[in-house]
Amino acid sequence: MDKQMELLQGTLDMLILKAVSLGPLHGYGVLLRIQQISKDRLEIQQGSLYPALYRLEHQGWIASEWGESENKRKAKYYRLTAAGKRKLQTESEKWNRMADVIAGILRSTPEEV
Amino acid sequence: MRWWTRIRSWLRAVADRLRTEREMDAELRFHIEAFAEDLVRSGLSGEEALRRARIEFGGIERAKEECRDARGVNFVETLLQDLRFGFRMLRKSPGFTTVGILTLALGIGANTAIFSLTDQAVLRWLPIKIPEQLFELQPDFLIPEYEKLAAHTQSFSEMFASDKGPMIAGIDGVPEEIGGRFVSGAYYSVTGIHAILGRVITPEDDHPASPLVCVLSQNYWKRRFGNSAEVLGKTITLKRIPFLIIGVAPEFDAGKAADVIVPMATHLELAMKDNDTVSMVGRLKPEVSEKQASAELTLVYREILAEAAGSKLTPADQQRIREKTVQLIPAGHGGLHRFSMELRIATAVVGIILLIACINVGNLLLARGTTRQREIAVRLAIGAGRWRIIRQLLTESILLAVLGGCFGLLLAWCGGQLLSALISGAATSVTPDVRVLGFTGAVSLLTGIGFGLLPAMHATRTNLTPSLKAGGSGSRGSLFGAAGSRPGLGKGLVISQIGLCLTLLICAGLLLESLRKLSQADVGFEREKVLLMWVLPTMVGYDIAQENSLYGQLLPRLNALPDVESASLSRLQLFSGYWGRSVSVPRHASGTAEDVRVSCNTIAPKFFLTMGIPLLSGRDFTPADTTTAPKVAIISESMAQHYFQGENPVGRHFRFTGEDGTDVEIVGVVKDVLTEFREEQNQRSPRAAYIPFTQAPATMTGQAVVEVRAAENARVIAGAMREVARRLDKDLPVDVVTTQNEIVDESLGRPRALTQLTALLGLLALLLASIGLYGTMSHAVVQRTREIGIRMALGAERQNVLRMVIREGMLLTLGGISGGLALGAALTRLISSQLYGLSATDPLTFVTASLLLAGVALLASYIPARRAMRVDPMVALKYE
Repeated sequence: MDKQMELLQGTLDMLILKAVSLGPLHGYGVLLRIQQISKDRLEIQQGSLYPALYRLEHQGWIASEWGESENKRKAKYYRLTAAGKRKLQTESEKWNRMADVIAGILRSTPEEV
Repeated sequence: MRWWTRIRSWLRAVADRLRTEREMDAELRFHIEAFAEDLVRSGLSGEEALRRARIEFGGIERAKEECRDARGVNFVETLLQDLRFGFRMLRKSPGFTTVGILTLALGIGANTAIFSLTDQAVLRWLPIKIPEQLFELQPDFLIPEYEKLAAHTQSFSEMFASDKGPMIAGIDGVPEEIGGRFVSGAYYSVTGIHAILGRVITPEDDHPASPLVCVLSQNYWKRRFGNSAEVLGKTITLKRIPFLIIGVAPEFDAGKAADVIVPMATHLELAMKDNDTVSMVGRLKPEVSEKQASAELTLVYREILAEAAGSKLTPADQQRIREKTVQLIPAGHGGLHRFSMELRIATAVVGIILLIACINVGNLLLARGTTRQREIAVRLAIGAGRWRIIRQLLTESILLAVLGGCFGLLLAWCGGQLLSALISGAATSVTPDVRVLGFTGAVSLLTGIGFGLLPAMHATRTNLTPSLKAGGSGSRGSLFGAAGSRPGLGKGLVISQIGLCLTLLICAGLLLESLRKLSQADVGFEREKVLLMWVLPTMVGYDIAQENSLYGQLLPRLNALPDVESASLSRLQLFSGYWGRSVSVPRHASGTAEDVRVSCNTIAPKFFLTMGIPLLSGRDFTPADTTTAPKVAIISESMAQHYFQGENPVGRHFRFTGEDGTDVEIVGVVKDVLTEFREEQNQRSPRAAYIPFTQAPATMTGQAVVEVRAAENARVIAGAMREVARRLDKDLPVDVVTTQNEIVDESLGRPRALTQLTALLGLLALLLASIGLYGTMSHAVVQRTREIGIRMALGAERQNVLRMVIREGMLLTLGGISGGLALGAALTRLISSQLYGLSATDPLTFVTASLLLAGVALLASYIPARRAMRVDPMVALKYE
């Protein structure tokens, strides 16, 4: 297994939005899903997950309601709102552009400059 | 949309804070338990799994705190928390809280009261139609001038004329004096004031031929007629002429509002004879600036004046006309010109009081900060942010200020009436309306931050370790520097407080001393034994001939009364009325307007005898100086000196310039009298000319003040005087005033009020400053108990300890006094216009005020010093 990487500053919000875009999740579920998709290559501070969730909810990107978990326990489920969907879209586009640009720079050879 | 969600989330969070907390707990618990279950599945024991889960999660409380932050509820929550804590802290030290609240209540209350007065007199817009467009023209105009101005000006969309004056109203045959107001027909339409009963005066009413009508002011209607609707159609008489009451309407006036309003067309008939001018108010067109309007009106006005003078226009007249200007002053509110010197000084003084109060409480807080050092250090040590603690301390001080503000409002409400009576003469009440409440709220808030910020920053600047170790009683450093932090702050505060206090005391001292000088000043005439009685024949319709014959009958009867030494009359009472006229004297090259100005009065025979003014040469007037006899005058010593340079002026002639400029022969010279205390300041001339009342110009007839000199107590003849007048004409409006002394005294009314106010506030400042010094010294002694104990254990004498503490207190006082003297010297110049007979830097006053302050300061540090002296070394060493 690769060594875990620390999350880049400011990307947690995007990952949470992506995670809940695949279907409603409780907080722990968000953590598991990100770890699962990333094949455990990302290290997420559990303590910082909830403030992020609260912040996203406060901003209206995600909404929450209480439901029942897989093991029949009460849990708070988050789902993406319409505004959150748009936000996720623009954020991922921005990220992809940024990644392209940075990758392009890093790929550059002396001849190209 | 997003904003809405945010606000909703915030509101929900605030509304059910408890529910949110519960949910947050449940959510996090679920996370950790679910995590732990997964760990159990991977083979850990239940307990170990839970432990691991918790560790991996990290700081739960911190996460919660961040969640609350993310929600945005933290502000309110923190505020509530801080307020609760603040209340607890205030309750815990009732002494500090009481002193703090009282101090602030005094400071804020005084400011509230003065603001309320200023607001009413100066700032507040009157509740009339678009008040900010209304402007009053300066000066006042003669009625024909007004009509021409209104017809020619392009700057105003509409205009009206208005004039106020006293009237005698007969209601059901009973006469009473009221405040009358003349308004031109446009008045009600321009101001947009509506009748609350009947109708208002219209342009049709304002014609000489129209039926005579009047409108009652709402206040007068309420006061005199008990809001009865039956007044409509009733008649009242003004100058014995019946007027039909057509309606009731509110009157708005930054000054004294009128009782009865009549059309301007009746002005000539009803107004007092010396009143031939009216004030003019217009609605400025939106596109015209005040400056443009003023320039335009000035031009028009000069043309009108030149036209009126016609062919007789002399170069001097031309010069006079060229000097005329028309100014615009806002009429929709009192305006700055009503911001009287008294009000200005009062505003400055209460500002200083508030500053002193702030410093006082700030100082107390500073002292408390050192005793709370341990608490603050503990909170800092367990991770509270410095700003968080500052915020909490600030919340506490704002809480204190707001409590002080509440009491201050109460104080202003109770004491405001007194204050306003002192300053403006009229007892306008300090009604706590929205504006006043807003002001008090803002001042309280600012005050709270003002006195709280510095101590809060100071208290949190602590170096943690010594504070935690030393247990709060910093045992090193000087008297004021507790626990090794800046020692200068507390000292600085006490010094500035004493300085400000001294400045106020000096102002109060200067005003008191000039008041004393004023009341002892030689006015040049008899003050004690002379009783005055106003008679107003014109108000009941006398013409000039009737009036003169009335006086001719009245005076001999008064002179014949027992206990009366002599009786006379004059148009103006000495020391209150003033009639400036220009004269031209042959062979005197007349220069400036100042050079030719004299004060004039019309008098009856025996006036000088009655008033105790010595006749230096020539003769007094006699009954032979009738209307048709040659025109004569008696002049004052300084007028003789000024125009005749030591030659005997008796038998010489001069002329009053102006319309009735006939030649006048001088028949006598009398000693000078004061026209008022500040003659030069108010451009009044001590040069005086007296003429017989029978030869007075028409504008100076209509009323007179009768002077009677009593052999014994002046008061006892008041009834007899009234009776004489009543027997001549039972309807004659008569007002037995007072002794001449009270007139002089009355002219001191405003200086006296200002002096009393300043003295009162000065004493208040002294009280506050001594509380401040006392508090600081007491606190310092408590702080140094241990050190003093050691000193005494090592053999220091009690006397030495006493001296040491007193010396420190007096050093501070000296610092404050030198600062206060400098500040005083700089500031007292501002009140020099209010001083009489002494300079603004009168050394005696400065020294006396300093000594007074030093004495009180000595007392304030003596009490703590005695306590220090009594420190028992054994107790002190075991202390803490």
